[in-house]
Amino acid sequence: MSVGTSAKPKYKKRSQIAMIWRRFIKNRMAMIGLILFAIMLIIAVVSPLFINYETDVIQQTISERFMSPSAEHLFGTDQFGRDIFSRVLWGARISMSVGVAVVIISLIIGSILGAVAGFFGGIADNIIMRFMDILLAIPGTMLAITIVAALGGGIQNLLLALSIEQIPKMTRIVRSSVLTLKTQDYIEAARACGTTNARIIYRHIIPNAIGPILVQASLTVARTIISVASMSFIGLGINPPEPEWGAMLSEAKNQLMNYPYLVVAPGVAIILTVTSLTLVGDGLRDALDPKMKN
Amino acid sequence: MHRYIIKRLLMLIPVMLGISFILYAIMTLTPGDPAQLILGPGATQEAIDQLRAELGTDVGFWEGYVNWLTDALHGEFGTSYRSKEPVFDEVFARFPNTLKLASSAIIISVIFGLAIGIFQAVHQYSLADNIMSGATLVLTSMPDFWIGLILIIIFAVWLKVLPASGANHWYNFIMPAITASINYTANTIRMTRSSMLEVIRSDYIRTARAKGVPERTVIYKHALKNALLPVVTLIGINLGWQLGGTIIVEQIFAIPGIGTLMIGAVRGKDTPLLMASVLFVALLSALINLGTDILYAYIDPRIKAEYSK
Repeated sequence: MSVGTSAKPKYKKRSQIAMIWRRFIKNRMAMIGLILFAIMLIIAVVSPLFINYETDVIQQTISERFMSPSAEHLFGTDQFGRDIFSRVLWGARISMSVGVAVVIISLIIGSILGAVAGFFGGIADNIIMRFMDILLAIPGTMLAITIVAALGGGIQNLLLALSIEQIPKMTRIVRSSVLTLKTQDYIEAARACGTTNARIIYRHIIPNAIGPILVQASLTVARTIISVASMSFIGLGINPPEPEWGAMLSEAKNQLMNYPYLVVAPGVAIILTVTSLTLVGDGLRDALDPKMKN
Repeated sequence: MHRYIIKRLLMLIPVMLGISFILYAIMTLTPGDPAQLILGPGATQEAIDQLRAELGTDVGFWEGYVNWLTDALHGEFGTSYRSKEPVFDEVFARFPNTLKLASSAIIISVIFGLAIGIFQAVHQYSLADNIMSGATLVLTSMPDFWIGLILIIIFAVWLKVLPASGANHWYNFIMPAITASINYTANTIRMTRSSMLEVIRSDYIRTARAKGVPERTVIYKHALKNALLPVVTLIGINLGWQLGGTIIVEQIFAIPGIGTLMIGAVRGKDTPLLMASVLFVALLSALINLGTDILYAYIDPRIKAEYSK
């Protein structure tokens, strides 16, 4: 190294993501959410190691119906003598995987549609966004319910219905990120320096657009977990004997008179998972907001 | 402003056409035949064919949709396959229940949302603020049907003071309205709080305080007016959304509303009835959103100026 270059002031290179992460870990509530979510995720992944699906989760033992909580059955047993604790843990696998799958599907399709609409504008933008307006104009869960009721229950149809519901929101977010970034001076500058399109997208667009998308992704998983439970609850989602939390609550509904405790565990599981994801989403949003830098 | 309203109304036409097409495609391209479903498994092919011709389902997809559209443009939305009643008679018979449920849920969410949100903003970082923020967070994460179950256990099973189902008396709507309102209340609280906090920090509030304006006047006269703007939008969106979102609550409390009608229509492959009920709710919710935007412009001169450009 020559003497000339060492005289140059050294700029500490800090990537956008590292800065966001630093702000995120300073946020106590966000970290609680992240740790809680990590615990739920680990439970979902490792539960098959100590729970047997056949014997613990779906096997009916009539002699052990409605047992109160004990050392053997931590949350008691349900109307078919199945251990509620095992079922709730197994339910985390279903909810998490459906939630994550819906995010991945809607993220991929939404990113492509949003990027095309934002980048090319004009007719492509008009066609894509008007179609998204149509999907968004059907209020509440009516679209998802219509799709599942028409196609029949089962996990594929549920994934399809919930993804269709989420795609317009993703598309809008990606499109608006791309639109804002497209006109930024530093993109212009990079282009003036002769940077290739691929490098601009990889170095500049993706790191800057990823933030709002991550926020939306974490909130989408949260909303999807509630949607799956709601649809299973009214019999249009994942069907019994699968231990989906909403399906468990649907079964518990028939026992409200005598065994109200059955509604506690699945409900608390939903609330914990969704709360943790909301905390992560809120924390990410704050970490991304330049106004919250200090 | 008028041009803007007309433009928005005109934009509704392609959206409604699009919705009708998507719904028609979902209903007719999925397995299951309405005539077969109505007549049951023992029906002869002859009877099925005859009923198909009667219902108009014996034509291809495109022809069927064009037939529906032509009739709809003449104001004929058809009769339900099952009840043979004109579809809008059925929709309007059920709609009052959904409207009662949705509007009382919104009223609850507005009253509690504004009161608690303003209280929290005024007492930022106090113990009460922290506790309420935690509670609001948990409330937004609760599925509404779970809240419904808990309310049934407390008020219908244990205390026996409220009925668990039905829609005949006003008190039938207490638990459903609370159930449907919880998530919206929590959202309104969060929005009101953050919007109030943003306004309280602004310069003109500092000026008002520096001039010695009483704190009560500063909060309720100066700050609240501006802080309410985003909340108005949220309330409008909530109401539009609520009309289509009470499906689950209607199911728990056995309320014969639009949601129950809709689910029955999809399951029974009753295409005209489903299309009428969903289009009706979608149109209503779009008009409510438009109304909110107009109201928003009306109460915020800055936005009005924006539109008249």
